[in-house]
Amino acid sequence: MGPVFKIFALPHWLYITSAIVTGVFFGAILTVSGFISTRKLTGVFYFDDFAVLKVLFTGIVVGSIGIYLLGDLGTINFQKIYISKTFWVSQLVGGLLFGIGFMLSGYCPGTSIVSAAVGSIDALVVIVGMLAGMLLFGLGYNLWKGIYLAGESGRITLSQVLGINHWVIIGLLVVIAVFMYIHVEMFEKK
Amino acid sequence: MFDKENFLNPYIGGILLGLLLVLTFFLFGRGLGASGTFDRLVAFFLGILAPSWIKAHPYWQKYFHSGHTPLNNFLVFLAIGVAIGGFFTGKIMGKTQVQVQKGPRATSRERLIWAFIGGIIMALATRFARGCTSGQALTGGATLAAGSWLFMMGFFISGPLVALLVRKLWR
Repeated sequence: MGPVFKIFALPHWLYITSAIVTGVFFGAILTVSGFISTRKLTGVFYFDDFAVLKVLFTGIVVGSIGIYLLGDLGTINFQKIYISKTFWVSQLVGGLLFGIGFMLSGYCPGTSIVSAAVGSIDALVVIVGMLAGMLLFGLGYNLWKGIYLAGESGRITLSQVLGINHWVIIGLLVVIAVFMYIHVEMFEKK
Repeated sequence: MFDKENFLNPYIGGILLGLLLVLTFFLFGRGLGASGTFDRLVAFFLGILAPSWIKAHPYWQKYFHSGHTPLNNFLVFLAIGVAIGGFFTGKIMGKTQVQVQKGPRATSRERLIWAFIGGIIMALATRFARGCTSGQALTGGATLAAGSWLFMMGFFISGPLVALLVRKLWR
């Protein structure tokens, strides 16, 4: 029966409205979690506020349980959902660059939107910088096309790479999460 | 459930985010994302300035295959919602304030210059990674996409290292 909008021919206005409403909830969760604050966001790498780690990793774990559960039950047709293709070289480079951009700007792209929405001038400047960066990437595309396309491995998941059932991996993620949270909580209390 | 700054307990926030992600997959067959919107905005404006050039551009042409404007896209509608949701939640929490956020030792000028440079680098990063914290770390992470976990690895390696260099901006 799902994904609903890919399987049923619903009107486009309903699609747009549902996407905006989904965004409203997304923005609300980011804001209420404190991700409008650069102090909170950068705290994850100054080891004095681990909210980013806790929200992100809990989101990943809950999300993976839900998505794979609905997939195994047949509620979501796994062939019709979008799973990001892997370009392992390019994405590793992207991750390394992202840490630099995040620590210089104090935000990630989604949190820059909510922070600008509540009045942060710095977040607005980050957005302008991002638009300039997007322009730069496209204009210089031929220069870094080699890196961009390097390491293409298709639509592969961790369970395919490691040859292990996805529930074993999700179970491992839960264990890692609990282990990490116990240590982080002790560290924050110090 | 809320801390002294009125922010929600991060584990509850994480659970809500995870549930929203599952619902998004159930409804739309795809996850959350943010960075794509900025690229699409740039492509949209270039499309007005130089329509035939961009439709043949090696990178941006992908946004014009459908025949619609690049702004007619899930991520763009989602981003509009994010701004609305952020604003009203901030309003309810009493957190709307025009300000420049920075550490006590940084000047506003320094902060804004680095914000701009950081924004440029972050945009480049999202193109190589095919997404950001929302599209890759959260969504890709939850679908167990292999490249998304590599992205996170890179992010959690360079982040703490750069943090040492720019301490004056934030603490």
